[in-house]
Amino acid sequence: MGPLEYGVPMRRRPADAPIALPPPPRLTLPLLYGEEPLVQPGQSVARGQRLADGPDTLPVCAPVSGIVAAVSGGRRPSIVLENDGRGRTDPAVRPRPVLDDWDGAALLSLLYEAGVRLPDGTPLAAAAADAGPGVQTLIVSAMDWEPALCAEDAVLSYDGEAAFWGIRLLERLLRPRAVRLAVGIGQTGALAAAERWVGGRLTLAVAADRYPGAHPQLLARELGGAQPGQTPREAGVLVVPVSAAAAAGRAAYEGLPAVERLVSVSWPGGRATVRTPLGAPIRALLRAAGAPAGTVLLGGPMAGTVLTDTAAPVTQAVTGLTVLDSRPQPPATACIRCGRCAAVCPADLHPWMAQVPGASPAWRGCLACGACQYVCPAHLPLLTARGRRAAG
Amino acid sequence: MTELSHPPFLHSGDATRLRMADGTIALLPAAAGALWFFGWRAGLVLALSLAACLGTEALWGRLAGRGCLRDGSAAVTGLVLGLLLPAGSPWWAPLAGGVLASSYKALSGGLGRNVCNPAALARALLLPFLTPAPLAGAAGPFLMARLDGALGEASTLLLLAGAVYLALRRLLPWAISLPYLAAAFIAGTLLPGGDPLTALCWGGTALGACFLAADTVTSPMDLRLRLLYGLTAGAAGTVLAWRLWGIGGTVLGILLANLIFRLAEVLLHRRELRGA
Repeated sequence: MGPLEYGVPMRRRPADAPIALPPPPRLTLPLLYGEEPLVQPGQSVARGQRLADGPDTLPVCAPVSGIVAAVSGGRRPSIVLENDGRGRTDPAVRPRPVLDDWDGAALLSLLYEAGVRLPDGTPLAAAAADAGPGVQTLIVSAMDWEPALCAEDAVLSYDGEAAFWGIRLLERLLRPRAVRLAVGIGQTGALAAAERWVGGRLTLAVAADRYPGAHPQLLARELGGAQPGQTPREAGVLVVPVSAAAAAGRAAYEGLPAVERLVSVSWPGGRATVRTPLGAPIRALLRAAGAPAGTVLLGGPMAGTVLTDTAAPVTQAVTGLTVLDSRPQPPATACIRCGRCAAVCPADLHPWMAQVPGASPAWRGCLACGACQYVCPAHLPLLTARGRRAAG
Repeated sequence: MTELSHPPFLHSGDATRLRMADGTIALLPAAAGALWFFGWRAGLVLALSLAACLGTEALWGRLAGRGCLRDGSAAVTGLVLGLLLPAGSPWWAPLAGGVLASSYKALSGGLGRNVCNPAALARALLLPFLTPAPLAGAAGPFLMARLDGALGEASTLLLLAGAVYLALRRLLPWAISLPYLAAAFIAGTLLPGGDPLTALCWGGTALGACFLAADTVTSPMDLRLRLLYGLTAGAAGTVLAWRLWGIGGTVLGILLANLIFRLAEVLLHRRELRGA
């Protein structure tokens, strides 16, 4: 039984065409990584212009043209931009010549300047430099971590060209032995788009619709030959979401730094993909998508976290939003030792031991996917118990 | 309304209560068959057994100060116990059995904590008073209507119908039931004077394989242990049934397997269970 047969079946559906967010009047760009502001309040800036930078960090660029409304420091430094609606682009943003003759250092520096971050905050350039010469397999994942969301699918289906520019750039930078494009079997639109571009070292890997099959660890096992318990890095595998590749591609060939992204909004009975500039308030996305009122999750329904402030801005960490309906949880019963939690666990762990008094189950390798809690007929809080133990 | 603060916020829809309801439904064809073949006496046995199990569990719950009967497991125990008793049982037997079964479960700590199958244990404790005849030499046909022994023996076909229902609801543990049946067949072949076909078609084998050994609480969770568990329960149950006590052999086989494989599971996971 391979790693992609673990977990629980969850259907993926192809993403609809993205809708553009109506230009937001105000954008907030948080400076989370110690960037120093380069602009003053009242200053007029253009789209793509550098607003903040630092010696050890990526630059923050303006997603729209406008006037700097505020530069606030303190514990939550940020730059607030008033959109002037004129859409002027910075002169530095222009298509670049073909990059065939650029070397690795130049390509890395291009990625740094573009400010592309992976959803966990790591700069793409840092991840690539870290993986460096040891990379055997580059896996570009078009599978959203949660099947309810479709941001990565939308990137491949509708921004395919930028995605493939980015893949080509990463291929040239890392020179892996194989490049696999992971697409779920339910993502028919993305599969059709990918068919046009595969060839040479780039191959298509169609994965079953199972959660948490899109987790980097499981992708590395299934497509990169990693052993159970081995991290992707140890196995010479780098897993990159296709949205980050598309941002890198756009930066390389259009010269536009990471200033916008596709965000998937999902709710019971509906779904939408929104193309949004970074810094837009999340509630504007929810309104544009037509999502009903309810508890908002950052992420999907399986592993997302509750978002208390919907005025929070979109950052590169925001790939998907879910609105939940307020269904009461059924009451928990005692563990009936059915064993389904252990059967579905992708890390071969035994979550049922969390219910045995005095036991301390091994959680090493736990992906915190929540599949155990999803299947438990006793509705036991297995994932929460794990978190509590892991916290100390 | 509960506070939604921890993921996951989706659920597969599986629930203890639904499983118990399905277990009860799966036993209804055999119960109906028992009523058909044995008449009102069978109905009395089943009713008394159910009442005793439900009532005892309610009483223990009241004593312990916690809610009870919410999960529906007492109904399944009551039906299984009734099917393990003969139609000619004196009135006190299903009552005593139900009290024993539910009390054992309650004293173990409630649902999920008992090591032995409660219905099997209760039947085993009643064996000295209600001793069934050995299976060897019993006349067929077993697929429908065998008298005496236990209500569940009346119709293997109806028990298997229930098992098919469980299989359709994805509740039948193939890793336990199939080895059980295989072991029963092999034991029937190897026993002197044994008849593998009788062993396989007997109602007690179906009851053991698809209902008693299939109990999630008293069966191990690892795949390899499950296979061995099914084999052990099937072999021991058939040997003891053939030579000694009919349905009594089946329940003793189950209890033996319960104990051996709980010990095996504790040993297998000793490092994590002891608490490092």
